[in-house]
Amino acid sequence: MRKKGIYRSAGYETLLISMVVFTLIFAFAHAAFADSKRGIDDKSVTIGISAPLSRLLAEAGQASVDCYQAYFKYVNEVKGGVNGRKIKLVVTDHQYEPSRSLANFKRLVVRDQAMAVISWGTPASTILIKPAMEEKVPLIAMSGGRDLYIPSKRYVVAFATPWEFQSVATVTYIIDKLGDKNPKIGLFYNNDDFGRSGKAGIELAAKHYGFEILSEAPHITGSPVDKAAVTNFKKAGVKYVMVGAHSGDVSSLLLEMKSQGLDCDVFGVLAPSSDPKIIEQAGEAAKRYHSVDQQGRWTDTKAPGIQQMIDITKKYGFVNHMNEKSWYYTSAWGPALMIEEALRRAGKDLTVEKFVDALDTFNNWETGDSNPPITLNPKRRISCIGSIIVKADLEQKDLLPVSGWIMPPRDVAKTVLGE
Amino acid sequence: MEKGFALPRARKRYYSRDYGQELQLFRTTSQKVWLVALLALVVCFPLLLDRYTCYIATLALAAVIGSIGLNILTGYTGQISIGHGAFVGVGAYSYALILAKTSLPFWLAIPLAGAISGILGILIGVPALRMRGLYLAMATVAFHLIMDQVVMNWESLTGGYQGLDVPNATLAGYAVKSEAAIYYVTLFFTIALTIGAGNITTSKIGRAFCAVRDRDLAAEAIGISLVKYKILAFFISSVYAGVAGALMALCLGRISPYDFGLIVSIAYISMIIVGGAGSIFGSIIGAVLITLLPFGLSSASDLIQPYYPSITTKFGDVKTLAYGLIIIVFLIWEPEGLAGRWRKVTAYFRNWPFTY
Repeated sequence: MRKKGIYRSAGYETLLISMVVFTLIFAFAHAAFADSKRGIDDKSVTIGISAPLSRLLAEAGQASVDCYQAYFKYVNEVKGGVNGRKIKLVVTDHQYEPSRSLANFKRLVVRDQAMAVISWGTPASTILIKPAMEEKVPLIAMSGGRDLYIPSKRYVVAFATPWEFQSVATVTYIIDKLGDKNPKIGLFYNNDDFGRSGKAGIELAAKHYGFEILSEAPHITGSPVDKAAVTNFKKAGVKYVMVGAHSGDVSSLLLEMKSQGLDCDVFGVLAPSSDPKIIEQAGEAAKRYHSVDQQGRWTDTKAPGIQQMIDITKKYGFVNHMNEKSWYYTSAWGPALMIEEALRRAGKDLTVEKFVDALDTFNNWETGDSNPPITLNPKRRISCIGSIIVKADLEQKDLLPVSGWIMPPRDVAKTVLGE
Repeated sequence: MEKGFALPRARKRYYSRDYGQELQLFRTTSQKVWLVALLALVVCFPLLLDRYTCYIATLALAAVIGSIGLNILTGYTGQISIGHGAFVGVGAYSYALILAKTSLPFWLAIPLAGAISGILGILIGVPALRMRGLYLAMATVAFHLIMDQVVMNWESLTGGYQGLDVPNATLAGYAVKSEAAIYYVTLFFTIALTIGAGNITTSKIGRAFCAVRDRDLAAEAIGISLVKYKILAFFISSVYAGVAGALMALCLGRISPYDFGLIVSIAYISMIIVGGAGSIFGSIIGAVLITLLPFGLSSASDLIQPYYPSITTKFGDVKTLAYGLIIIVFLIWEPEGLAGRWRKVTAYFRNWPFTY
């Protein structure tokens, strides 16, 4: 018989049968990560973090990680740890790729024995929902992605204010604080997941408060602003332009509005639109710019939580973030406080389950105004529902708070959270 | 040959005595022994490695399949494609949707996902017939960007930016979800498709591909249909990419557009540059090396971290730099890739001491 390559000698049938046998054996042999004392000993508790430290959003991820490092260093050195245990932070880079995020999760839990994992970013966090639940590993996601908290999952907590609530808060401010009961609103939004969340929030607000959106302008992220969008706002008699876009696009819109002579209030409807860089880029055009935010501002030194953050940041040498007024640095402050408090509430006899149970005991827990009050329970797995409105101050080159924490109306909360 | 003259024993095994022997993928006993040893090692990996390393090994195996597919198209047929990641994505989404919407078992869904990707490959292959070189490369990039937008905006089908959960695979009523089980499934497809690629490239089809790559007009002049073989190359390449995508979806458990961006296509190109274009062996080593590189660099930063805690935040950029440097180094100094260097090394020792 002529030999015609390896397949005759190897035998596909043998290959198939042996693979099925091995697969069946290992389908049974499913060793779980679940270990109630994983990452916990008498002297320390290990927390893992997976964030983008290179490529996409590297600057943002690095700022957040620096915040955790500063705060946990403070807890370890000044407070002596939590219940006598120092917090050991293990940092990994997921490069904003979900497959790397999953690899980091496995590494953190299998090799580094992390008791809990902090994950940065929506796609990198949602991919961890299944393994976190299957392996009973507490996952604290720095993301408002809906799949993280709807339906509620015991081991998954999203630290954010839902995007819809942020958008609704801007309209609530216009109606309650500015007194305009029938606002003439135009909507400009990035045609991506981020921008469309803002649009969904404004549509919810329109339904709740009973007004119409007079003009809508979808926009491709990073592209030049369509002049017709602003022209249409003018024609429709818009008094408030609501913007669901990234900071670069917000600046471009403000400049276009100035060049076309459209002088009205502009509201960024999602927290990242409160980036102070907008004032740098848009200059005078930003004088009537407002934004929503889900956390305190660096310049709000009257807030005890913010002052503490500034003091600790200076002490541990991360002043570059303070000088830049980094939004992403402050976004990590709230989760860091929450983790420390949960470890404290879990007690000296710490286990993974006690930590998760401790998270469920947060009920309007105050953070010194660095974040909205935190509430978590078995049904609510998103930490905050409050938002704050900030307004551009051209002299300070920042956006400063002009409201307290604005909570969403009940029916809106029910629609979004299903409570 | 003179009576009584016999080839030296060292020389006999490198020379084929009949056509059947010429066609064998592994001709010598030592090659077969090494192959068996390698197979035994990869089969035993889950017993030797922890779950994290097993997961990385699975990603590497899936990348091997994708890399072989791209090498068939680019290395063997000379059709440049920077849209390979899109076909991987199509395979992944097809697999997830087949499992979610039908009652087909996963082991059928994987080849079916490959077939769906293959059909898309034919649709791309037809307009690509009139293009070559830079224009073909740009056309494939355009295809990738189009697929990105389709996936991100067709929310009812793909879940948009939020992504899609991949239903658990089951075999005989048991969930295939442990890292080891998924590894073995991936290993099975990798071995099967590698053997398939080996047979394709040593067959008439493979020789036609090489003719199209080397001198397409001359190939057509001697009766090799460019239309048929170019489209066939796109089809086979896309099937491989689709299967790789399906296995990735099985491994990840949840897929999103962020898993299949343009950077994935560039990664596959770098696999065949580093490994060696026009070589199945090169595809394998290139895929393994490029997949393991970021994890290897992470391990290197872990060694330094106890002494310099903020190294991780700074090391991220080093990884990106290393990635680019490796590609440039290979393009300049090793254009035939690691497979080419291996051929030269083995040829040297084969002919030693007569190395000139």
